[in-house]
Amino acid sequence: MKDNLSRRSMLGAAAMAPLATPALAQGGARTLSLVTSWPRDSLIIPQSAERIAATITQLTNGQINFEVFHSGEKVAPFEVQDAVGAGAADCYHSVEQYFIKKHPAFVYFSAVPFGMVPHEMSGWLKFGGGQALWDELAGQFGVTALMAGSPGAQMGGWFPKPINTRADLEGIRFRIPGAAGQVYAAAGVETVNLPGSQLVDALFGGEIDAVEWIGPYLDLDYGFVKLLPHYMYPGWHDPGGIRSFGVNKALFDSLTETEREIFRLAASRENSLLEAELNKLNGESVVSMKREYGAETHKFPKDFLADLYRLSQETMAQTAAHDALAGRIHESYFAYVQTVAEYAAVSSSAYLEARNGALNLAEVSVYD
Amino acid sequence: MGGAVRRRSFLTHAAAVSGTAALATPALSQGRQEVRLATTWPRDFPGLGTGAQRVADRITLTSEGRLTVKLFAAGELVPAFDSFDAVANGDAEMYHGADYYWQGKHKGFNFFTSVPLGLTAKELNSWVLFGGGQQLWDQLSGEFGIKPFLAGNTGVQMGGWFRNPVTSLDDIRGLRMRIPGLGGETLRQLGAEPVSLPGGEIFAALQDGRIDATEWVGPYNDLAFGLQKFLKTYMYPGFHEPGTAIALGINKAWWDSLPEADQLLIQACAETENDMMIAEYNANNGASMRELAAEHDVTVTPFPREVWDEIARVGDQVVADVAKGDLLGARIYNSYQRFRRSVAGWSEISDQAYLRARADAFGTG
Repeated sequence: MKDNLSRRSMLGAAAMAPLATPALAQGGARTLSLVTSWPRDSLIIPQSAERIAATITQLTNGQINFEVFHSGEKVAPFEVQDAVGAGAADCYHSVEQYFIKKHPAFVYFSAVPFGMVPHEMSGWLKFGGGQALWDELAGQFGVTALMAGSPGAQMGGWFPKPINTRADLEGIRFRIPGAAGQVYAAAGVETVNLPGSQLVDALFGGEIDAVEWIGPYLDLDYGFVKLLPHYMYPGWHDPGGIRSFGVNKALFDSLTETEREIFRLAASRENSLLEAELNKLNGESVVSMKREYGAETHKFPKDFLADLYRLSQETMAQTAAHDALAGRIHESYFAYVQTVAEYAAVSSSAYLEARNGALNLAEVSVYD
Repeated sequence: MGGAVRRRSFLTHAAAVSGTAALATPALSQGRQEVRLATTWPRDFPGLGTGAQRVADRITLTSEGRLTVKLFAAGELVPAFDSFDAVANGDAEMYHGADYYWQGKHKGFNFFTSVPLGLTAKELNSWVLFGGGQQLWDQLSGEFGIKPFLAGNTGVQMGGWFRNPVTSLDDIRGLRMRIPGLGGETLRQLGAEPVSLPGGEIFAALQDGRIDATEWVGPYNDLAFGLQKFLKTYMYPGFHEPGTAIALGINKAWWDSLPEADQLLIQACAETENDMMIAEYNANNGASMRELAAEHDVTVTPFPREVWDEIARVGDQVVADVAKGDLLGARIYNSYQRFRRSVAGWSEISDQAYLRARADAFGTG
């Protein structure tokens, strides 16, 4: 996904009252501001941010409350990290790839082409040295950030026809931002970056011919299927879209150890909840978009993916070359993902292929 | 898994129990309550025991000691498999264990841990947390006075250790394999002789020929256990436990007596472990698998298709039969199966297709 704003986004939002949880006059109770990159009325993701805030409030017995400002209500969606780093807001809920102009290595903490799926990301951050690297990077910008859930593996995008070769992309203006956009651009595709709020108009106006957003449930809400029935997979470019909960570093460091643990817990809990919630909704949506809206899912061919993998490596190598820290993050990230990819091939991946194939639960089998 | 617990626990438990008998009731003083957490794991058992300890420590820390959780490893307060009864009876407030250990009380408990050909960790989270599973679990455990939560998952387990690769269904016939529960029943129907053995007896049974093969957990635990010293063929995919969920079971009367804030705190700590444990396994399984192959001459190989397909067919039927004749069991099974059907198409085009594409790209497929 990348760009946050849903079509229903910002116009009405500014007028809406923030979700204030007024602090009761207990000793030391305070209210922090939480700014998000999501329009208040978009589905699932803003509620995920609010759930994190509510968990912290409840677990601190009301000592830490939040006033939540969704996209544009206080800060523009891409500027939430700036605001928190400067102390203009206390916390943000976003995806780190929105900040790659500040430092390209932020991409490693959100979505890397052919990179980690969410539970692998969690493993790298908590048991593989990743969090220390994130602290070092975000610390340069006055922020401490935590992994706070994921919508799960994304889809490869909506197209007017099945995409089997790079030639099929000729003449298609494709809305796809971030590292994936760079890779497609390197493949000669005309890429466009538009906020979510403009996608439907851009499609009807002919400004774009294809679009990548998130996954079945959230995409179905936009209705892309009506214009672009061909839904490509896998989403090689974004295997997790990791959400981050960022806190002003001076503020985070001033918290008690108990409070810091409550912040970590509230973010970590979301790793269990958000992906599980969307997984259920995506499962139902895949079925209904095929049955009721005539969507066709197609797999990107192996050769096409091999080509894009090569281009992805070049793009990521440029990111790694940015500075020494980017180089260290890149090395740690890819050492981890290479190791776990070998294991995934004999565990979760092999199991799903074998189960779905043998029981005819889905369409392909590991043995085909 | 099925018996990951038993290995060291029962060796020491007799001595340990007498030493802890004095801890009978939760102490209440100055707003601080001691909460007894009985686990089915040896202390600090990698992944499972460490996970239980994280749950205990997190509750104590985030409640600022209002709920001070004292963890009892298997056998320290009660034997591992008595943990459920201990909590139901109020001899402990909570247990951390795999709910299929209680399948003797009700077969429905299998579905809240893992069943052959069942849901992966992510799919199970979806079913329990957002697909109606929690309500059914509440009803089932509630019949025994327990309130359950998900509190960890090991991820997909491996298919097991063998002397030689299984190349045909003939190799399964007569195979003496240590594999408990529904996985064992599946292989029994295919002509194997499944054996249920505590972990502590596995090495001896391999040495004296009582068994030829065994399953355990996955590379992280299996390497530490030392199975590679006895068997060199490690097969995949694991059909019997595709995502082993670990439960935090809580005495319901005690739970109901807690203020809402403390209930949320315990629930949030359990849900957090649902993230942490699979992360710990993920961070260690890959490296352990590399070590098994590179330093211990272990061959990692898949079940041939005709073997897998037959295991899958029989295993799925074993699961369908498990809850027959019981209304709640049938409702649990139906809900679980409906969910698997509704999510499988999505799993196929998301995680399954993505991981395959990545393995192809990396050349590790």
